[in-house]
Amino acid sequence: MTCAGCASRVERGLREVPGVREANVNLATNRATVLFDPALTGTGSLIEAVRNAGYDVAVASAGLQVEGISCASCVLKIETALLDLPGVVRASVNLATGKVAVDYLPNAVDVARIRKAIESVGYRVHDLAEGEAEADAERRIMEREYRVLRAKVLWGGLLAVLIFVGSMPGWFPWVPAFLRNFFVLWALATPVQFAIGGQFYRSAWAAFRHRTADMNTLIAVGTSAAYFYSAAVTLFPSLLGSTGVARDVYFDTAAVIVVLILFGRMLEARAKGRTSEAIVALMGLRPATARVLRDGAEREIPVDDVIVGDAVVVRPGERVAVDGTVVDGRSSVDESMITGESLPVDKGPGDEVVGATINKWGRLVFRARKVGKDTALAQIIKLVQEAQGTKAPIQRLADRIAAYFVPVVISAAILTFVAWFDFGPAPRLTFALLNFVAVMIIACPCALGLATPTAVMVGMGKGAERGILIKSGESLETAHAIDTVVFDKTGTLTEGRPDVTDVLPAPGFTVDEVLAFAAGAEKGSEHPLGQAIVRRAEAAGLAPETPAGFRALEGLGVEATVKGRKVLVGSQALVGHAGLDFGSLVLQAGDLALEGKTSAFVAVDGRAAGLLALADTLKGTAPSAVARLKKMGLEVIMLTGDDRRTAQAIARGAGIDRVVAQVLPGGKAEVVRGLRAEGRKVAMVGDGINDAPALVEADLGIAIGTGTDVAMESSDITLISGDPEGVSAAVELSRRTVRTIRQNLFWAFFYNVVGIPVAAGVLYPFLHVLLNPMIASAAMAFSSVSVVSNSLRLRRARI
Amino acid sequence: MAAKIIVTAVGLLLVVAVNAYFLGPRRRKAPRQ
Repeated sequence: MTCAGCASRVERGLREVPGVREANVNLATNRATVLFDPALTGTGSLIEAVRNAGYDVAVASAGLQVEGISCASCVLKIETALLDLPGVVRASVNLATGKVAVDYLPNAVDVARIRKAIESVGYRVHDLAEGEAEADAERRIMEREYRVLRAKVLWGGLLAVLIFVGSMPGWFPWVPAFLRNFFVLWALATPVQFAIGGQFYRSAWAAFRHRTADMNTLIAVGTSAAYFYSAAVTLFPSLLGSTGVARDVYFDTAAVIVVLILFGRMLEARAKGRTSEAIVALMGLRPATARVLRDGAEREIPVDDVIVGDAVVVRPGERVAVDGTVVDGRSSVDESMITGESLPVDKGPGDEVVGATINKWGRLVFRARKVGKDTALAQIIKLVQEAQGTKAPIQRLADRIAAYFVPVVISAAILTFVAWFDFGPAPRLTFALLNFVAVMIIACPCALGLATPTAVMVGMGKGAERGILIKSGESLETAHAIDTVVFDKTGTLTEGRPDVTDVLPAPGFTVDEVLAFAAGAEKGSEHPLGQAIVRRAEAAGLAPETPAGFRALEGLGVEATVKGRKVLVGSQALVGHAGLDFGSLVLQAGDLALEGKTSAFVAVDGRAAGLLALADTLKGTAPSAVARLKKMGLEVIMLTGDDRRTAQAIARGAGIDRVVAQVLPGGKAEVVRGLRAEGRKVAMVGDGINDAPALVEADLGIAIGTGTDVAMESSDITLISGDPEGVSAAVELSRRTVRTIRQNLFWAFFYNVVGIPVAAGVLYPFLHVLLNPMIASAAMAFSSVSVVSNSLRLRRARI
Repeated sequence: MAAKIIVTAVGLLLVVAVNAYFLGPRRRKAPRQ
C-alpha cells in the first residue's frame, strides 16, 4: 500500500464482505482492523477481499507433528478446531504422516495458541527434537503408535479370550468355575474397557464436542452400555428379579469389540508407517560428501559445506553432489533417476548437471550453482512433503455410517424408554431403563471391526497374486473412485529403454547386413543403444559374431573388426570426424530426430553402410491396457516432457486422446493438482524420481515396479511387473473390495438392526420376550461369520 | 399421569435435540482440498 487511495480501496473491499461491520486501514502501519460477525464470515474471506482489492496479507505458516490421528474424522476435528481460531487462514491435516500445516495471521494468533487448540480436541503435539530430521521424528512417532497399539491388542486379546470363555459356559464346559463368576469377569473387563479402550472415550468426546459421531462414538456408547449394564447386574442381581428378564452379563461383548477394532487399527498403523520412507529414500540419493577444488587442491568436504561458486570435481562412477554448470571435462551422465530417461546425457563445458545423477566415465569439473535446499533433488523432496501435507484423506465408510447410526440408535433407545414408561407393565421405571440399555447394547455392531480389515486383507492378497502391491487399506478404498488415469510416458507406457525402430541401408547393403555388422561391433557393449542393436539382430535371427579389436569411443560410438572388416557405429559427429559421406541418410536422420528418434550411423571399411533409428517404444500391452481403462469409463491422459509431435505419435499408438506434452520436471504435480481442482479423482502412474511429487499429489499414486525405489515409496500401489494392464486390474480390485466392504458393513449392522425392535420390546406383548443373551450373541456371531465369509468370497473374484 | 407427560415431553425433546445436534446444519465446515 502506497497511498491513501489504496487504503480506502482495501477498506471498501473489506466492507463489501457480508458480516463486516467496520473496517479501518492504517496506511502507516499497514494494518487493517476489522470488526465482523464470526457467524457470517471468517478470516479467510477477509483475506480474499484484501487480495481481490489487489493487495496481499502477510501470512505465516507453521508445521506441527501431531500424534493420535487415526481416522478421517480426526482430521476434520482438528481442522475445524483450528479454523475456529480467529486468525487461522488455512489448516490442513495429513492423516498419513500426522502432520498439520497451518497458515495464520501472525498478529492475530501464535503457534502456542494453535498448539493449545489441537490439544483441546484430544491430540498431542510433538516438539521436534533438536537436530532431528523431520522424517526421523515422523517415523519415531509412527513406530511408537504401532508399538502401543500392538501392546494394547496383545493384553486386550488375552483378557478378552478369558472373558469370552468365562461368559460362554455352554460352549466351554471345561472352564473353571471361578472364571464364570460375574465379579471376576467384571474385574477382567474393566481394564479392557477403560485402559485399553480408553482412546475410544477420548475420541468420542472430542467428536461430540464438534457435533459429530463417528466409529469411536459408536464403540464408546455401545460398549459402555454393555459394560455398565453388566456391572449393574453383577452388583444388584435382585434388580432384575421382578421383571423375569434373564440375568446375564455382556462383558464379553464389550471386550471383544474393543480388541477387534484396535486390531484393525494396528494393521492400519503398520501400513501407514511406510509413507515417510519416500522422503528417506530421496534423501539417500544425496551423496554425503563432495570433492571441491580449493586453493588448487581437491578436498573432500561434507556436501552441506559446498557453497555456490565452488568448483566441484566428479570422478567416473560418482554421484554429482549439487546442481551446477560444467566448466571442464567431458562425460555422459546417467540422469535416469531424476528424469526417467534411460539414455545417458552427454555433458561438456557449459552444460548443466543435476545433483544425485551419476557420472558415467569422464572426469567432470563443474561450478556449483545451487546448493542445499535449492537443488533439484531438494525441490523434489519439498514437493513430496508438501503434497503429503495437503492430501485430503478419504472419509472411511464406517465413519460415515456411524455419523447417522449413532443419533438414530440413541433416539430409538429414548423412544423405547418413553414407550415402556408410558405403556409398560410395572415396575415401569425398571423396565424402561432395562430396555433403554438393551437397545444400546444390541445396536453395538461387533462385526464392524472386521468389516473393513478382512476385505482389505483379502483384497491385498488377491492383488499380490497379480503383482499388485497395495500399501494400505486406504489406497485400496480410494482406487475405486478414480475417474482419470494419468500416465507418465517414459518407462510406464513405453519400455523406458531404446529399441531399434528403423533400419535404412545405404546403396549396396541390405537391411540384414547393416544390422549384422552393427550388432557384431556392439556385441559386449554396455551402452543401452548398443544393447538395443544386439537385441534387434538376435530377434531377426542374426547371431552377432564376437568382434575383434573392440574399442569404445566414449560418447561417440564404437569401432571393431567384424568378419575381418572394420566397422564403425556411432553418432553423426563420429562419422563426420572420420570424413565419411552418408549422403541422403543424413537428411533422413534429421527427419527421424523430429520424431524423437536417435540415429546410429554404420560404416564398413570406411564406406557408409546404413543408418539405424532407435527410440523408446511402446510396451506391448499398453494399447490393451488403455482400451480396458477406457472401457471401465476412465479418462486416460498421457504426460511427458517430450515435444508435442513425439508425444502424440506415442499417444496415438497407445490409443490415448489427451496428451499433456512439454511438461517441465517439476510441473507434473501441478498438472495433477489442476486435474484434481476440476473435481476429478486422479490416479497417477509413473516410475521416476521426478514423478514422486505427482504420485503423492494424486488421489492414487501407482508406481511401476521396474522404476526407482523413490517412486515406489511415494506411491499407494506398486505394479511389480511393470505391465500397464495392472492399472485397470488395481482399479477393478479396488471396486470389488469396496463393494465387499459395503456388503460387510450391511451384514455388520443388519442383525443388530433387526435386534433393535426385539430389544425395544416389540415382542413382549405377544411372547414375553425381551433382549435375551441368546439374541445378542447370535447377532454377534451371525454378523461376524457373514462378514468374514463375504470377505473370503473376494478371493474368487476374477480381475 | 403427570409423570408420563413429563417423561414423554422430555423424551421427545431429547430425540429432537440429539438429532439436531448431530445431524443439524453446520455453522462452518473446514475447507477440503
